[in-house]
Amino acid sequence: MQHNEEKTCWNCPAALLKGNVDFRACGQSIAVIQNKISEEGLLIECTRRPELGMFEPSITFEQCPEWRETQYGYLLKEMRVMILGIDGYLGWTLALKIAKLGCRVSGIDNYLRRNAVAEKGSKSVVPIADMETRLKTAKEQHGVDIDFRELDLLDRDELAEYLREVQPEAVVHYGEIPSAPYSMVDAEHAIRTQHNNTLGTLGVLFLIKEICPEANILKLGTMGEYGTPLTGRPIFEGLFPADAVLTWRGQEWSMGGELTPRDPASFYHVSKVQDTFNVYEACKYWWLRSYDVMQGVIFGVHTEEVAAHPDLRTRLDVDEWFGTVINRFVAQAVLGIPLTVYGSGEQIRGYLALEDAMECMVRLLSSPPEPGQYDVVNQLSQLYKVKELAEIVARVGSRRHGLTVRIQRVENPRIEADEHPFLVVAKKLRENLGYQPKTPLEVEIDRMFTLLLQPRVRGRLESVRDTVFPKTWWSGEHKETMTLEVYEPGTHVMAGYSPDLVVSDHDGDE
Amino acid sequence: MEISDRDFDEKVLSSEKPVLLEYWASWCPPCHTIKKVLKKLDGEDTWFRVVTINVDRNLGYASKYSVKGVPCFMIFKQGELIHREVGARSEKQIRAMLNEHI
Repeated sequence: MQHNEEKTCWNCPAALLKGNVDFRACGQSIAVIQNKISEEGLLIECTRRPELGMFEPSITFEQCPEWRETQYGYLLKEMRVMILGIDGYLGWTLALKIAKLGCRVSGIDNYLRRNAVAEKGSKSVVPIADMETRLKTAKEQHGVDIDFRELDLLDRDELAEYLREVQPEAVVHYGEIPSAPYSMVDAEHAIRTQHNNTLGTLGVLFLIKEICPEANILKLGTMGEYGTPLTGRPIFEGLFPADAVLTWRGQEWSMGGELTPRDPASFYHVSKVQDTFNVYEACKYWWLRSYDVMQGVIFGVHTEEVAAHPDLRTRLDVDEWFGTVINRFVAQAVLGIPLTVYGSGEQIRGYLALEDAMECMVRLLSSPPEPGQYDVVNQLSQLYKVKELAEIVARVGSRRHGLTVRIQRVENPRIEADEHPFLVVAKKLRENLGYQPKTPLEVEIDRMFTLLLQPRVRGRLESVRDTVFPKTWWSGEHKETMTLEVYEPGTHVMAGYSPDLVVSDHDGDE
Repeated sequence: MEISDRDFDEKVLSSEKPVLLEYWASWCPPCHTIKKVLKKLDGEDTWFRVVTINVDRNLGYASKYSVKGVPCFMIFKQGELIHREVGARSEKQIRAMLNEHI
């Protein structure tokens, strides 16, 4: 049984609701539509199958010939997917994956990521081709045509024109500045991040409403939106579950379905929280449909599609701004720099291999929410302490690749809890969408070592050595970050709180 | 069980068992979260029936009963509406509602 076989026309972006079932005003259906529905019943048209005329929107994905079976569930044939930020770490990887699955992929990018990394004096340590070469190689290696426009998503006129041309059935929004430290450099960087992310997203929502209101919007959020509540209360999937109750003065109120508290940890994370509210409201006001994807920290370099040819590789950043923690640890191990753990290293976060993240995104594409539905998934495969990750990277580096790896604790330049409880719920992707994590942490770390130890990659890594060590202080101070301690792997015990991940109802949370 | 205006009469008004009905909407997050609880109650094969109905897709009875907000819970006995309340409710609160009114 496929996870989405019982979904119906109500979940399908090809169902033409506009003019037929046009609820797009806070659920207050207009009189004309009301009369029409009372007289004729509730009927819609299909943009893909106009020969059906008007019909009841009750065809399931399993019954509909436009949806075909794949290993990830039923997928709309030749689904038109537009990726905002298609040149990035995730955007390019997803473009190849879904193009190979038969989607008609289009995308925009203004190379902001390439430029911001260059601003730091760094570059992708895995060499990446320019877009023209990427597209040509994708055609040669995978037989896929990906349509690309160099475009800033803040340029709404240009983007509107492109959206009208493509008429996407899904929009994957990766077009944001994804760095907490970048947003904490100074006022200019904080403003640039929030301007690009928050206002960019707001503009995109208006355009989708005007041009392709049925599109499934996959908006990339981050687990960092929630923060790390020191009470240890559960981090639900964006919305409180049905049995969450507020008790006050002896009275109880259901919290079911309300947005859970957010406690962002940088001006970048604030931009993501602002996005959350904008997307939530847009769904409510205009009946857009969206998944807000609260993604854990991504690591790794591998998918079958990017590994097929050197010119198809996705970027890998290891600088303090754009390098995520596991990626930086592997780079440091190769460079012979002791792995930099901030503060106590007891910080717990959710993690996900690149390959698993891509599978999650395909599954989300395969199962659009209903019109007006704002849904949230916590997208991660496992929780780890930072200190624990350093141990694992050190172990793989020494045992599999003969490297001598040490670990250093440095002053924590961030303002965050060094030690905290962390109870995370991540059930929807597994229970509703059929996802099971496939890429073990050690396997992906091993793949990264193999790639980074290649002479041409290692040479590039050496050239960006100075960008790895953290220098950006949340306090705004410009000072060196001091090393507190250097130690051998296996010599420090894990203390404090244990990570707690709930992935099913049987885990005792409900 | 999801119903429509078409079988409202059969499933609600003519039901021999008392009926707990919930009006819901796709744009209402509390309505989505409560689904699991209602499904559980429905599966208990007990002395009442649980049905859900989408307010936007079934305007006839929603209009007749003046549904202005969702989730809207209604209890019907022998075809008569005997109780209604609007807003998210926990499982405990729904069970209390059923015990009090059925």
